[in-house]
Amino acid sequence: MRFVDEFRDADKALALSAQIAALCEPGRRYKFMEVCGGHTHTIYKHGLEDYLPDTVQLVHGPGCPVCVIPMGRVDDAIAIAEEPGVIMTSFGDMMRVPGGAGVVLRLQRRGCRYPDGVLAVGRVEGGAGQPGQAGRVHGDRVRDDRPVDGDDDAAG
Amino acid sequence: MAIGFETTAPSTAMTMLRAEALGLTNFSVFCNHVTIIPAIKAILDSPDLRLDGFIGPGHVSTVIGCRPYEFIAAGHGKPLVCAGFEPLDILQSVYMLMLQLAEGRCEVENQYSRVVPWDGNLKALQVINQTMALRPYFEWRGLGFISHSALAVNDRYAAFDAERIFDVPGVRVADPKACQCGEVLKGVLKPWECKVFGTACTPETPIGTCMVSSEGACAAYYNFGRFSRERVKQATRTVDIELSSARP
Repeated sequence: MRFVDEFRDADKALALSAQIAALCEPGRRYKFMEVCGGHTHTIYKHGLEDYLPDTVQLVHGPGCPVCVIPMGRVDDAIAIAEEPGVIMTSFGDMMRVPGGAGVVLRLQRRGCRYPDGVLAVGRVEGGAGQPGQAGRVHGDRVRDDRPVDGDDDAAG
Repeated sequence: MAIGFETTAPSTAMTMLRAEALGLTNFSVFCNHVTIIPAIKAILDSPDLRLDGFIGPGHVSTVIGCRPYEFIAAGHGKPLVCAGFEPLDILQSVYMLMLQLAEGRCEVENQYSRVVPWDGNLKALQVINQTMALRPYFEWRGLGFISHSALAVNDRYAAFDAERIFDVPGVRVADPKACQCGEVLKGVLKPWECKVFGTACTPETPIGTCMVSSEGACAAYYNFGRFSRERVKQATRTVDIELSSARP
């Protein structure tokens, strides 16, 4: 298989679904945990629960790094970002996580500045971080009103 | 702010190596990398859950490989299948788990072999080891403090460690009372069973983390799953109405 649509082939999915159903022992319930948040995303996006028998249940695990970050760490990030002259970059979803002291993304409204006035995600190279230096920030820009689409999110 | 499982840790490590090569003095990393194995151990030790097996994390496994999961099959008697991220990958992994149970096997299998090498990515593991060290413990939302479950910048690269350069409060902040992310993360609660799901807590105004990231169960369910669930509800309601109107 070479193309993504081949991994989404409905006929093959139905065939697998039937094979799974055939393996179910009568009266037994099955519970599997998908550890990774990326799997959770696929399961809901493609409605995979509808392809499984009622007796097979998928349980969502802790494999979403942004989800397991405690609020205290977000506040630590905010404290660093509020230091004068600091430019902080991170993955887009991290920027939206609420901490006790606020959301990193909203710091802009508290007088913190970012390269080109927006937040950046991804790698930093060169002299980024020091005013007047030719620093470059790679990656997409994140807007305040950006919907959740996952393109810039931290991978599980 | 560096974050992620072993999946993203190598890119942070490479960034530090690059910063070292460039001789940067104005660059630092606030390291929040976590490791997957201690989290799975915590889940296995949790009394709330009775699981039949695991769909293993594909992206993490590209770095750490399949070997670290062997204790789950050998020591805890739960099969694990490393899975890819397309719909057929996940269905095939469920099939492989069911087949193991039906045949009375309990093994670690690799469904995602087109990307995941059994021994992992040795170069990636090497740069992680070169620049980072395990923390004695780290707090996880929902799971509490787990020992040796996160990475910090090691002593050799201390010059790039934001936690040593800046004054970090390091205060523990309690989650909002209404938020039930902890239960959702442990798999005890389904997203829609949370009290604030879809009402006070939405991707636009998240209260908890699970509603923020696209990988969070709540955000994924809010964006996609609720429609099919509503359809099912709608369908049963229609049937109910038809049944009640059919009665004499």
